[in-house]
Amino acid sequence: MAAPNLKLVLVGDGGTGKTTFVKRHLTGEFEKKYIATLGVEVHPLGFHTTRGPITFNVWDTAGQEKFGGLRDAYYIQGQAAIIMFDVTARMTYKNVPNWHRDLVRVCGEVPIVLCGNKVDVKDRKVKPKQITFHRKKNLQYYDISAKSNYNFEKPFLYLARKLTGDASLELVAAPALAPSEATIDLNEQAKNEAIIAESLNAPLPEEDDDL
Amino acid sequence: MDEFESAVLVSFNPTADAVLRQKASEYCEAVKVNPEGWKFCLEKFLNTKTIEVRFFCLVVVQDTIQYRHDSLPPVDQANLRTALLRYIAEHLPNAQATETPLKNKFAQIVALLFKMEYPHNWPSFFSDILSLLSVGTSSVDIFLRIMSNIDDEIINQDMLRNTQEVARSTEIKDYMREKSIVDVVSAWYQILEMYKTSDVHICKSCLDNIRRYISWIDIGLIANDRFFPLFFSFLNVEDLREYSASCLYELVYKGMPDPVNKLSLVAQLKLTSVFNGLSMNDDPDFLEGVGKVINITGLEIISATKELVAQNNTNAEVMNSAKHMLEEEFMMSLRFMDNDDDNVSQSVYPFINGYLSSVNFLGKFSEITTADVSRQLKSANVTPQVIEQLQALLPIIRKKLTYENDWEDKKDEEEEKFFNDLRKDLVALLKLIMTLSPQLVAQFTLSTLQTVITNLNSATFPTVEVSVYMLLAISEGPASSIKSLESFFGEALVLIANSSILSREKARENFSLIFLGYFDYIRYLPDNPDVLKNVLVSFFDGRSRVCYLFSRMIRSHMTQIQPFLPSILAAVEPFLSPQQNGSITNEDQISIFEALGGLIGGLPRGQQSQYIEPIMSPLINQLDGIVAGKAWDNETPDKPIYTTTIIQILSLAGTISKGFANPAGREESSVWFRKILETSLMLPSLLPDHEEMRLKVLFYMHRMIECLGEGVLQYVLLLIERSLPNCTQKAFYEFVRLLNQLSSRFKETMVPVVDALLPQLTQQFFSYMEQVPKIVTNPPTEGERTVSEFERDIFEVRKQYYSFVGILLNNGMCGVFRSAANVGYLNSVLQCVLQGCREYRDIQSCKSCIIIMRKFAENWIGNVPGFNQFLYEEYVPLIIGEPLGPNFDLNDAGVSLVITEMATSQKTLLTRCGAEFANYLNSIYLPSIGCTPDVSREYVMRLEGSQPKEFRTAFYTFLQSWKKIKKR
Repeated sequence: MAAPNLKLVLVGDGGTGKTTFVKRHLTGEFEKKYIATLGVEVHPLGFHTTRGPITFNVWDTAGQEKFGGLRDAYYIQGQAAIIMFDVTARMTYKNVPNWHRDLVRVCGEVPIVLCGNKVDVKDRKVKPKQITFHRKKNLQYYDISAKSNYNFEKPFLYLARKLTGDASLELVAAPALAPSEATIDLNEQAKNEAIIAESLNAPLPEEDDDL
Repeated sequence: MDEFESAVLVSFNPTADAVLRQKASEYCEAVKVNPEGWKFCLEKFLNTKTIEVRFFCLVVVQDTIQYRHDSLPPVDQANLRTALLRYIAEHLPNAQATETPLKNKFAQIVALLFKMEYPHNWPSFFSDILSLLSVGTSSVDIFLRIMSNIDDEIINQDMLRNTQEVARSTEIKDYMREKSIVDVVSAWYQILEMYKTSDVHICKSCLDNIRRYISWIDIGLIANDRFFPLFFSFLNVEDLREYSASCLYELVYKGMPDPVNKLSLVAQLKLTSVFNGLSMNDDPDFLEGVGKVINITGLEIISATKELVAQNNTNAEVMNSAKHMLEEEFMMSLRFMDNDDDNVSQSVYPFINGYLSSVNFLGKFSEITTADVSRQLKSANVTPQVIEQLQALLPIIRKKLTYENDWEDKKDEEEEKFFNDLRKDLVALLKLIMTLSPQLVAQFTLSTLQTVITNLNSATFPTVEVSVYMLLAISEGPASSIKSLESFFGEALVLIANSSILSREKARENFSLIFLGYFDYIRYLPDNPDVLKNVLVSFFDGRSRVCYLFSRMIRSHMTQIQPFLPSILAAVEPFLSPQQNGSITNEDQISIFEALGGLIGGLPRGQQSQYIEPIMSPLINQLDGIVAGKAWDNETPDKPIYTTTIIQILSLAGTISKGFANPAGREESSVWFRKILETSLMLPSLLPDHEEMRLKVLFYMHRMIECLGEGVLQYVLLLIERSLPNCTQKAFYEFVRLLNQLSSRFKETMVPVVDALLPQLTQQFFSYMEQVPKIVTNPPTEGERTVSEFERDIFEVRKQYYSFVGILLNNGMCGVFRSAANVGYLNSVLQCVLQGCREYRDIQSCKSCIIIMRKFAENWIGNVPGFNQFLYEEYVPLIIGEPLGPNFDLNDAGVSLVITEMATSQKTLLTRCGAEFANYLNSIYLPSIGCTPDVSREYVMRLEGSQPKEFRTAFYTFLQSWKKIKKR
């Protein structure tokens, strides 16, 4: 059986990092097809899974002007979708319901992953507790950082499981990703937590005997 | 296929030739922006088959409606309306299986046109659409899609809309409520009736419509005997039941101004009996949906009740009925909470939480027969009935708190996080129950623990874990509830101590956390030496964090723990001698010694020796043995057993001595510390190259100042004299620090010591300074250049030295600088301080130096002949002329402090030298730096005539205007 080719629609406000995200996948980047004037790129991203290879043809609708292009016509026959917002820009999260509505109108009830990008940035504006939209609509949510590759494969793994109906599907090899360009905030956080734990463990500093 | 169609298809094809694609998309754009393009596309839409082309046609129409509607001639607007309606009436019924995206897109376009034209342009919108329902299923379907798109595009509050859009939405809703909603709802009802057994898809869509509209339409239209039976019957239809539950949710959640109405709506629904027959083995997604309905119902009853009370409208019948409903809701919600599926269980937490928080409040109205609410308010209301409810709830909480048996195998980060959040919610419930009946929670936890311990051999880890976890959770409960549980904690602690729970589970990583909680219970220790020993021994089995906490806890609960001292000592006995690769780390050992010091040092006189002696004697003997035999001669650099042991002994003895700082309590034990001190003083000369050793001896000496008081002075001289020659800057720094500490504590008593040490100290200091002459004038500033560790040390040494000079002056020891032994160094000392006065990049040092010179002035003007002249020549330029230079930046915040000191010093010189100083400034110094006679006179006048604060301001202004002039 030929490797399944699945159409995945990637949407979200401009500047949320959609293009950076797909470009992390190096083989996909190598084979990308660019429809310059219409502003859509299709990146075939391949993954090796326990159920064999799966390719997501990711339709990156980057650069879509309000008036130009085919807009939601691109969603036609989409089998899965990723809605991306930027955790450092509240407005991009507030627009998520609109993106979701447009997707559902064309694609119906396909599996959708909501991704909060740029979690590597220190000044996070949309806090995890404020991210609730996915629960209302039964979407999957992931914090990601396209710049640092953090959680890159998570959305694809989730969608692959949903689309194959195999909840135990796993990736057998990590995809080749561009090297990280940012320190992962979450790693940092874990480190910070470790430091805090460590400091609790340590004896108090000697009282200063000076003067 | 015509040109247009191929253009659209090529635009969609990512693999098409780039040039062709370019052309194709230009073609598409041209159609889109052409004013007549939409007409062409409407036509095309009807006459082509490809979904991409048809969809694109609709996009062109959509753009026209959204962005160019107002520029369309009325006739075109009318044609558009007609075309859309005709499509529904004529084409849709005959088109075979139109693709869903096209139907939705079409419905969206109708909704968008509605948004533009309703009601003024298109008042008959609803009658037009509703009249088409008779056409058949296809028009019913498209009607429902249009209604849902109207919600999406205009009304739904989840969508982001701007102010105009919100205003438009309100306008449309108002008009619909007035004119058309009754007809729409009746259409929904007829649709449901007509399709309830024949078309699941239509029913789904219709229920979804209703769910979307309930929140803003007249509730009476839906909350009636026509719709209720439909909703209830759909609860039994697998494909529709979740949709039906969502409608019920919205019904109950609907905002209603009068709480009485809300309560009667809930009463009318009788949801508890509706859901009573539900099997808890049903599909979790559905159960979760129902759980949400139960949850919101409960919460709504609570808030309606509270509102009635706030309105002072507590009609007994209404209140009792509300209370009765709540009890039913509560028992129903327990069934959901008990569900194995966490999402189902969690769906009712908010209500359970709300109910528990309101028990007291609601109880007040349980049997109200009079209007006298305030009397009822006074008594707490944990009735036997409430106790029964809580007893039913507790085992469920425990069950949901418990890890799954295979939790370790399927360790998943996300799941772990989810579970931890779940536990937080559950613990919140547990704490709420504690506010109602702490005893109930305690008994339940204790019996859980007992059961686990009795069956420890067969108990699974999750069962053991949860029993201790609950203990931990309630120990963090509300302080008022914990108060009454002391004996319970004691009992639990004994149970744990006498069992093998801890040794059995200690390997598990999660347990360490729980173990920490265990610590808090030491406050509740029972007075039983055997038990205590068990508890304490279990503390010290290699858990380093435990040792530290032990020490910290003892410090905070000193008096409670003191009686247990003998047991504690017995427990820690194996950890008291210096360890090499021992069972605990040095840090742990230090924690233990610190704790013991606190406990023993706090004992009254006469009782300390019996405890301190067995601890200190072995240390002393060991130290003496090593030193006497120079045992370090037999050790190798990679295994410095003996020197390491010495260092440990000094650390331990120094640490335990912290408990003996109180003069009243230290006498009895001082003999032990003194013995170690005496031996340790030999070490710097016996091991002259051992830096760490020397610093450790110093550390011990610091400790002994607290512990032995003045008695330590005789040793200080001995120590420093022995170790000063050729010591490193680091050690030198430590010596000066020690002297500073001693000087500020013992003041004049220190004169002989300082007098004897000063020459050597000063010599040593200058020998360092000479090594890096630049440092003195150019202290390292961040970012300027890299600073070597050596330089930084020197710099720190200098700072310490300045504070040394300052402390001597502050504590009446000014004389030592002019003693026979030291007078030879005086000029160097003064020059060094003067140098510091111009170091603006190290503002702190600069400030201290200016103050130091002022102190010299205060002490010596009039007493030391010629000193005033010295100050005029050397000091005055630094506090008046120097800050006029370019290095002194008035905008630097730190500089402001220095200006104050400079001004104060000038006032001091004036006070001490009087007219002589004024004359010097007026006729010699100020003219010498370029002041005109007028300025000089003005300056001196200000100095003489103003208060210190005023003069400071005047001086600042002087500096400021000088710099301004210079700039020009």
